[in-house]
Amino acid sequence: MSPRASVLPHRPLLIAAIMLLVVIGLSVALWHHRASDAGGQAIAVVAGRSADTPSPAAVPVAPPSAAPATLPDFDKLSDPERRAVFDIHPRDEAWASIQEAALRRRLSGLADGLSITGVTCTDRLCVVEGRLATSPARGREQAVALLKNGPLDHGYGDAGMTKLGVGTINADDDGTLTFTQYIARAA
Amino acid sequence: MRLSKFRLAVLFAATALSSAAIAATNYSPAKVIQAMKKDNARLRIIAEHRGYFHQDCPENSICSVEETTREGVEAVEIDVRESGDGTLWPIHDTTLGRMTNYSLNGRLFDPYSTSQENEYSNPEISRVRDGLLEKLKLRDPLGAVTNYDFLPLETMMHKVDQWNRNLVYIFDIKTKSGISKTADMIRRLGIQDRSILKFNSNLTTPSSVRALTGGLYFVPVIGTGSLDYIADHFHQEKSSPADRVGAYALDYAHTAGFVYFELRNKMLRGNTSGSNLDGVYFDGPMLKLDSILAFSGVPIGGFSPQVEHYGRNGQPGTGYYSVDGHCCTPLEARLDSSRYFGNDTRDDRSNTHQMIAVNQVIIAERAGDALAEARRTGARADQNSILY
Repeated sequence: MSPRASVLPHRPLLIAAIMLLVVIGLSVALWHHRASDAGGQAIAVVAGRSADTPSPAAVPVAPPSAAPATLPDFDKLSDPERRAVFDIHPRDEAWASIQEAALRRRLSGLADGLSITGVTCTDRLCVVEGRLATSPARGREQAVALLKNGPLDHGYGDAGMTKLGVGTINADDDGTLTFTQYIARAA
Repeated sequence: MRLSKFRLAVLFAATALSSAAIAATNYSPAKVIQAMKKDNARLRIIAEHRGYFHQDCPENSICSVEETTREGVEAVEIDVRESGDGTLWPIHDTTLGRMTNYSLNGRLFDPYSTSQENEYSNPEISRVRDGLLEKLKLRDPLGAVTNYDFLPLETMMHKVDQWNRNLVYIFDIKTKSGISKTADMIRRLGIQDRSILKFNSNLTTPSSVRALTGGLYFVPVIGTGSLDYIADHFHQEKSSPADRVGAYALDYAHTAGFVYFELRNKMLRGNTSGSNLDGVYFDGPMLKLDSILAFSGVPIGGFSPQVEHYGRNGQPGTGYYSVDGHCCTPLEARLDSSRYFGNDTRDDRSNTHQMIAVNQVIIAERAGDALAEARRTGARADQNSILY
């Protein structure tokens, strides 16, 4: 008798055994899955609103935006993180273009040696970039202090904006400071 | 029939064994790079400095990279400099003498001589044109001229990558313009998933690094000698030098493509042997930056040097080659200083045990030894997670 022929009489038994093992395995897996899903607690079913329930709000809805309603503390963020927060705000062309022009006008000439190199706005945020030269009469520490708490803040206030943290102030080899400050519409 | 079954069994066993052998070094570069990004004492990542070079096998060559793969190491660091034509070449030194057979007078550069005639055979690579460089052969660590051609970086990487899919390439770029050129080469070769751009952080700035890397993986390097420059130029809105350096480093760490920070922290303290990695800490001028990065969850890497040259008859000098190819000085002759953070007073980085304890990525001169030490101390317990 060939080996194959010797196995054949037991084939139904073999198939039954395999099926039994599969059923046991599936049961164990299902039990484990349910337990881990529930985290040891019973699953509660919460009723939702049906599709035909009228919306309570009849006011126009703003277009969807990824920008959160509240802003993080900018002093606790790195430069790339601040930029990322800024970049998720969509641009409101009407407001942004007016505000960019207004900020440039108000900020230029607020201090000797101050130049505004860039102003870009979104729907509620603006980023202001500029340079401030140091001089024998105004050393680096004074220049930094001027940027941290000085006439720029008044310029932002006049434009209806408030500063988000101190911003970033870098220096080149000649002592000229470059700064980046983020500001938001005053509440 | 029985014979055929036996043959099948032998074939199966042989296949299984060879598969296991491949699996032991079958690293997934993508997983290795992800592992570099997370501090994990159970899985330190080892990279071989300039590849595994030895007699007849020059550093930064096809041969040394191939040897790194044979050793079962998952990453290799290749130095990158630019020629007079602005082409990228794989060489560590600023000059050609030590590593090539360049000669004006028929005599090879002698690393142990400082005569003016000797320097004629040791020109700066940045002043030599490609046409001449392409005619050169590489020298091995004993100074002998080998049969290996000095190849442009792209040519070498094209050849290397034909037989290699398991190795992470770390390009140690010495010039600012070399960063974007290397990034372009990586894209041309299609090896973005396994390549890392490494450079001194002061070659660029946190705000402009993305323009150079184009979003590819990168590793900035900071040493004690850079701390004062950073504190004097960046984040002047912060009142303390440590806060300025910390904010600067975090700007890099939060830029797309960042993998880990390589710190040239030379001072460590704690136990030096045994299987336990606990109780080893950073020390010295870089300690504050280490602390800031550690508390922020930013992984740290470090270079662990081993003596490059031992004195022999006719070859005096012991220690490390200078960047101009001259032999040799001890590590202690190259300590850095900072007026804000103090001075390096010793260099402990050759202690592989301590380097593995404090760094997620270790660039090792002898990576096979570092890998063995990592395994001995439990720092490769999770190695399976970086295999395909």
